[in-house]
Amino acid sequence: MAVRKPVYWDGSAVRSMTSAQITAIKQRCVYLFGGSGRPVNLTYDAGNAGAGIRRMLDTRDTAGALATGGASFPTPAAINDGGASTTYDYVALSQTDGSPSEPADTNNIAFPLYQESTNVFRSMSRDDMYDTFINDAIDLLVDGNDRDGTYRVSTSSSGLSNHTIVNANPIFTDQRFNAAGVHGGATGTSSQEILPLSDVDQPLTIQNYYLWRTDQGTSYGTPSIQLPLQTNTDEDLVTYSTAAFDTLLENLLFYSTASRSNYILHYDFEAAGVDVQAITDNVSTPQTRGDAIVDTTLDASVRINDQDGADAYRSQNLPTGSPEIETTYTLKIYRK
Amino acid sequence: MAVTVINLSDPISTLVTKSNTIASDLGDKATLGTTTTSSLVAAINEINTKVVAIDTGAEIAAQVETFFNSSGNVLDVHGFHADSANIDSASITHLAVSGNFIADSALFDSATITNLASTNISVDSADFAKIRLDSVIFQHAKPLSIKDSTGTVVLAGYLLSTSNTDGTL
Repeated sequence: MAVRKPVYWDGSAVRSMTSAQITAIKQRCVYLFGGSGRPVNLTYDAGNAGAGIRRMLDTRDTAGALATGGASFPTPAAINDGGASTTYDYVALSQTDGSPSEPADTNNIAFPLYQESTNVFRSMSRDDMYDTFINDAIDLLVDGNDRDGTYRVSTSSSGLSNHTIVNANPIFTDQRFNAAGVHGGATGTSSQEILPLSDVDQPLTIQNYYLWRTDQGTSYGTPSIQLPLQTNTDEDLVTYSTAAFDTLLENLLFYSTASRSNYILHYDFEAAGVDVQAITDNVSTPQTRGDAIVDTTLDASVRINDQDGADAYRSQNLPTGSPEIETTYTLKIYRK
Repeated sequence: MAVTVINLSDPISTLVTKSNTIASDLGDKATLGTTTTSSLVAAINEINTKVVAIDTGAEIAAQVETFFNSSGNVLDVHGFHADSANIDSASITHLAVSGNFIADSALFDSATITNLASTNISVDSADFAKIRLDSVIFQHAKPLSIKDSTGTVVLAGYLLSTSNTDGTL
């Protein structure tokens, strides 16, 4: 259980890998995670009750109750701060926990050879493989950069370079009271022929947020690696084939990110503000993936008076003013 | 020594003396070493019979070969020089060959060979101080072992090397 330096055949001699060659294999792991077989995915599933990931709230200020009088404008009730909200529970975390199963060290010679001491070569153990390649590769995946096969949030609905959109529908929409559309953005008491409103909630879409997946090859291209030596049941020294070594790395990586304690790759939304929510099951520092999702409302109200005929005086407070942030949600990636 | 001759003029005393001389020269047949002692002729014939059986080189060689082919008969010589020899088996304490030693097959208990040229050697056991392969002289063996991930040895052996220094070929 330690970091090893696997050996390889350089054409004329058996050599220990350099640090750069080992780093290339870790980067190869990142590349492999970008393939379709990765076990940890985020999907778009509107109304799925949020499997494995927290929900978000879009709140909006709504108009106060309409006041009606027969001789003069009555004093209306205050607006409802955050009176309406929409729950966005559209991101589902798919984690194939327990599958794949932990790769076996068949015949205790499944993994590469390393030089144990002078004139002695020994097969790496599975824990050696984790310590040498997989753990560091997972740390790369959760470092917050655009790593192959990981997910991020963007306000863009198309054309995000090196990414594939998960679904054309937004995972969150920030809406506010349509002050400009309803009362022209008035900030002082005014008389307008707009009452009664059809609904106290007059939402206007401000910003959509979309879920994207980073394409395979984004981080390091297609890393070429030095294939190590292993011993087989005939006691021969043989070089892994590219496909066989990729499969070996994939099995270890996929098992770890799905099921191995402290190396399970996880996503969740962290929130600051009114709907505060913290991530507590992490063992690495959660890193932001993409644009922050901002739930905004308006910061003021305005009284609108509307007289319809000699005996119909209507008055109502409506939201207005500048945007204010209620809650900021950020998609985080981490291991747990 | 002159031949004893009895003359007609010899007196009786001389005849006696010469007869005794002749008898003495012929010897006592009772002391013949031959098997047959009835008469000198029979003894001589007996010897003749034996000599005739080995009076050619082939007959002598056959007798020698028959003798040394018998168990227990040993040729013990101080020196042996031969242009060529076909020896079925031999125990040689020290065999020095200055020219070429050519053998279809040979079994040596021990040997010191300064230069050995061969197209095929089958050696049951050997002790080499140096081995030259492809003009490279190897005179050291370095251990090599391969273990599985639990530390159990799956292969242990040696590599030939020109040096006994670790890290040197």
